[in-house]
Amino acid sequence: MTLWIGLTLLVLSPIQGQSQEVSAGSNSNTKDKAFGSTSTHLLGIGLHGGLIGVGADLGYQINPMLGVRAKYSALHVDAILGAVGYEMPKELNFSGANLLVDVTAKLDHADLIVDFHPFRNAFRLSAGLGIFSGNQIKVTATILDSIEFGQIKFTSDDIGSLGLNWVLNTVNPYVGLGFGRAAPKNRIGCGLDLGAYYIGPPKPEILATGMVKRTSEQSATLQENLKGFQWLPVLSFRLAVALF
Amino acid sequence: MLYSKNMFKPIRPLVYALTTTLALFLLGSCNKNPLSGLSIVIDPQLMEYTAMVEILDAKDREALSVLGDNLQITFESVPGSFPASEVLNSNGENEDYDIIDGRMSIGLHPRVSIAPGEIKAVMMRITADGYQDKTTYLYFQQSLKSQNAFISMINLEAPPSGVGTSDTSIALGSGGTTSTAVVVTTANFGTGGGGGNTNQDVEITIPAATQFKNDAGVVVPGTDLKVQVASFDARDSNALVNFPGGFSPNGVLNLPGSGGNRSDSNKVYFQTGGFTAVDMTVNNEPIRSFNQPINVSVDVDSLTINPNTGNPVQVGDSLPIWSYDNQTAKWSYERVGVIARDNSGKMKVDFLTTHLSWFNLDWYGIRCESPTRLQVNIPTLPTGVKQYFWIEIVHAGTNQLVTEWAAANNLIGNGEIIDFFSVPFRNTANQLVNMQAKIYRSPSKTELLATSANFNCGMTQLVTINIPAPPPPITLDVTGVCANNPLVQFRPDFPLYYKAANSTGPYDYLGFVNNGAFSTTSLNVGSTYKFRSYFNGQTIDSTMTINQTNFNYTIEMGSYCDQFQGP
Repeated sequence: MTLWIGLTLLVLSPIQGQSQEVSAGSNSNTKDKAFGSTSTHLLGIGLHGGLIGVGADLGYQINPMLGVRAKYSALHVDAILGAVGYEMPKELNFSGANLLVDVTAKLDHADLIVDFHPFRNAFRLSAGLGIFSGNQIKVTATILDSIEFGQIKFTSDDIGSLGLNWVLNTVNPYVGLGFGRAAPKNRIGCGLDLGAYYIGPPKPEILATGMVKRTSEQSATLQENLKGFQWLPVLSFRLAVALF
Repeated sequence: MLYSKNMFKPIRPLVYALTTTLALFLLGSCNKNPLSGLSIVIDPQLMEYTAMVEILDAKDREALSVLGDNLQITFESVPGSFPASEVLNSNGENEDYDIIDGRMSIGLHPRVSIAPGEIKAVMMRITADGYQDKTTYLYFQQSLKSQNAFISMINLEAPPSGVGTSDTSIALGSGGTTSTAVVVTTANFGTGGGGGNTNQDVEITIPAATQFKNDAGVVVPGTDLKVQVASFDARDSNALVNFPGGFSPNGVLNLPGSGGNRSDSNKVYFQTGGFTAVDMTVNNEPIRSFNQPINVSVDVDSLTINPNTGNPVQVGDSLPIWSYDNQTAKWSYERVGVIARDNSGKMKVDFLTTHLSWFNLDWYGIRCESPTRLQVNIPTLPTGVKQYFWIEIVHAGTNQLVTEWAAANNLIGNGEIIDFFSVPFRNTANQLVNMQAKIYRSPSKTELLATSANFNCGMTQLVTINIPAPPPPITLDVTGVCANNPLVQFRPDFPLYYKAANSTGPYDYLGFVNNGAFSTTSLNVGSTYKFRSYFNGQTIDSTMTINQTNFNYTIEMGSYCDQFQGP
């Protein structure tokens, strides 16, 4: 209960904090006073990168205990694979079979995150929403070899392909913890986010064509197996610059 | 200042505990193997069109065998259809067709495509010791991808009802010449063979001084003449199934009009008034022709309806005569015969011929180019439940099929519509041909369940089958597994046969397992059955008591797994 009361007070506090800022004008001493001795900047921009993408963000440190960040991150796995010499689709040899593998993984997302600094230091608890619009993770593998059965020669198209298509919910809540302020204390600062999006039970679909098309009927089994995997982990590093 | 720097210090451990819990939760959320219970399901789709061809004795329905009867089958291409080499055995090869229990499982190469409404065929030549050689066709349509075809073989010494035979040996004079006139008739049991056809006997009269020529037209000088004659009753369905080439021939020769070169000669249908097969050998060499005409006299059943008059045949009625070339599998128009009455009061058609073949007294006409539909209502069949019925389209008031592909074991549900293509349209009197649908209990035609009203080309005819409500459907789910690759599963296709566990009779066709799935209302809960199936050239037998309505059955795929090694 104490925690919730505290959070409620924090939600109310930005108005007061902003009014202090406005009244202080550009007087940095007034800001220091308002924030105590733990923060000297209100606004910062940053670059971040981690498990689910790289991007830029804008942070506003409302008061020493509360900051907000707006982030945009992009993750194009196929582009990353292309950069390291695995441009998709790619022919690969797997267990003696020649496969054409295609990976399309796009996890672009925008986040609005509220940071709560319970100890008024860099440590923070974070919560927010991630908007994953147009995201998709799609992997397919097609056997390139043909198979002969008596007089019948099955081509790659006959044999078909196997794959997976997974589209996350558009809006996913985020919780986590980390270090660093929305606007760095110094001109340049670092940050770390460790958390997870709550994505709900995943609904991946098995993609299958040709001879193996009935494998797609097992999508429900896969979804049942994955229903406990309802959190998408986040590990992200941030390099930020204080604007003012 | 609203906040003390150490305001939340007491809950710091809680924060760290929460952090640890969250981390553990994240790890724990994926503690189940995501691939558990998953496998790659392979539906080989080897052949889209398959057929189980059953070769049976026409009289006792016993299966013929390769070892016991020297049963041999060859396939030949039909012009306008696919090459015979596209007919494959269960191993995908176009040779070494396995025949087990008189059953041969074949399929068409996947590259054979059949458009809606199109009928493609392959010719089969079947021989067996003691049986009449048979040339027949196997028809494939898009609407019948898994079919069960029955081929009746006539034992010349024990023919079925509706078929009379004569097997006669005659000593020829010097130079292979008849010294006196020879008469052979299916009415004379003393000449060998059997007399199953009491309505339509055939008599062959070979005049004195006749010489016998082989395929090259050369006189064969032997002394041992063997004459085989078979007569077929035009009103007996057991006999009619032996009509060579089918009632919808793939082109006929010398069709009257336009100098015998009519463009619609490939659209002819036959309605037979009787047919006969005459074969001769001299010193075991097949005979094709003679140095002078021989006389063929074919009885005409007085109860046969003349389709052009709608009345029983009368003396003076015309009946076209056709001959059949076994090599080309073509019917050729010979001339018009006229029905006369002999001294014993029987009606018959006499004609002279200088060559041997099947002879056919057939009315004819032109086939329909629009689909003719049958809507089958089965009020007692619950929605979603299907049952096999043997459905035939016959000339109205007869048992004579209008075409071979108008007889099939159809798996249908209530209200289902079945399309029939190339049924008769108009006869030579330019009258619309009346047809009826006859629906029998499957798999054998032992019980006629319904007969439709008359209908014509292009119509949609309604017919209702009134049967007791069937037992609940029994479903079977078959999964093929590979011991050496548990990640791979197969969904096999194969025909399934059954009989009561205490039955000593043959197995009946139960249905076709398609993609591993099967449902039937032919089994009763609480009963025990023997099942037989044929897969990958092997026979699989099992005995099962039906104590539930859903069965999951797993079979080891053996060598099949070698063909389709999974990843």
